[in-house]
Amino acid sequence: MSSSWPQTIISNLEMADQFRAYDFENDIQFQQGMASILSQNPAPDVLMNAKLFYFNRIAGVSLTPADIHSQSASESSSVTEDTPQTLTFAQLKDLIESGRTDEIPNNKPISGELNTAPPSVSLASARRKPWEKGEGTESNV
Amino acid sequence: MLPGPNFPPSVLQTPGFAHYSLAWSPFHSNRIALASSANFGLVGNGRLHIASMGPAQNPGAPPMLQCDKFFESQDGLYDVAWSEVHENHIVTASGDGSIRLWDIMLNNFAISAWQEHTREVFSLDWSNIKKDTFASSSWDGTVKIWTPDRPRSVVTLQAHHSCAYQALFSPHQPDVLATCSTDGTVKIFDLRTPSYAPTSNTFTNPMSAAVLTVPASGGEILSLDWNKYRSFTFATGSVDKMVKVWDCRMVNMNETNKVGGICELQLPGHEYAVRKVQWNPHRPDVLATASYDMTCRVWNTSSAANGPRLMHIHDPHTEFVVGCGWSLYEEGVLASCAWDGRLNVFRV
Repeated sequence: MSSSWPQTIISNLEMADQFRAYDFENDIQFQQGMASILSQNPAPDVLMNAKLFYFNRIAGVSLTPADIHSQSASESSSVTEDTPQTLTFAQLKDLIESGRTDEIPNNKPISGELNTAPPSVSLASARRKPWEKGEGTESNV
Repeated sequence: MLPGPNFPPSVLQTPGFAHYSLAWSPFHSNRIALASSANFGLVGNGRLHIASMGPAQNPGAPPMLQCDKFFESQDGLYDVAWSEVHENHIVTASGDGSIRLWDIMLNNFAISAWQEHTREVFSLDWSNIKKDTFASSSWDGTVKIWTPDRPRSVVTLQAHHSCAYQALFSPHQPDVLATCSTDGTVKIFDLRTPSYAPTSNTFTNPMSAAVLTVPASGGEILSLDWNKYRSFTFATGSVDKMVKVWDCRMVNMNETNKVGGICELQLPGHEYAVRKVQWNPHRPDVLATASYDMTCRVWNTSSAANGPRLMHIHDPHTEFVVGCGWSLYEEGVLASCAWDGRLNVFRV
């Protein structure tokens, strides 16, 4: 398939290391900003985006989540536990071909059980699609 | 509101999960669902992401795109379709052949699941006319019609002998559905008259009768879309890098097994396979396409046009662009999603 996988930039790798090492927990400005815009337990990627937005502003860089998840310059791996890892296509191919599928990330058992909670009640009425605007009544043609 | 063209897109990244498809909510103008798969869909879990567009973070910046919630599945997710009757319901297509219905107000688990397809389910489409009905297509070659309240499919069409990449209801005729396939054809089926084609061997290899078969490409056809304003006109995207527009008004719904279709326009330009095509819901002559060449493009398909066909190239993605979709209620706003794990929303 494609030979062009995401590129990594060296300087961004170094900045990514600084990002990982940054003490967000004890940065009062960051924590206050977080409290004002996000819910109590934001999804991991929402949290990551917020950290990046803040870090990029104070450090004057433009890191993307891809920079943070790619291999670090100093091989340090202080990425938070619940942040999904990303392998390159080639790394993945190696793991599959050598049978080391237990090392493949995001490959965990997920229960197929059905939800027992009562479904939500629909409150919204159907909206007419743009191409239905000219039509007199309810449905079609 | 998004700023005008030439502004950077709003971006949402889903690390570790490559996108396969996106769908705008038919109820909430700013809500988008994303079907995604870990490890490029080769092995591992799937995720359904529910994203929304918020206000701009600061003046001049694009509006914030955020992930409100996600649901996990055992296998990769390849497509997603919002219910047309319940604003919180959504169906997903999975690599293990299963289809799941989710209520996005609940957590963790789906509210219904169906396991009939024997290979990857690659597309889903919720009928905008018969709003209690949706269709699935699979690499097993079949198309199935479902209603959420029944435990089994309502109809199974043996549509192709190879992968059926997409099945889509006509936006104008409630019982008409088009499919596209590895075999290079687009087929139009009339669901009111299900029968088997007389030319097929009904014992070992039965094939449902199509009202029209369009030999649309020498290679695989990965995507199609019905034009919303011109009846029986559709676009195709194929592995041969071509985008084509087809006029099939000659179709006679009282006959079956016709072969035909007039190719009224060819749009060369993509450098690799074209993975997704979608007509602008507000315009009869504007088409968006997504390609493995890492771009999403917008084309002017007007027969009166003298100028360039290509209106816009969106190229910030760094991997295969696999999905694109027009905002249903904000004209000119387009979303694209890719194997780089980025959802981009921008104005064309």
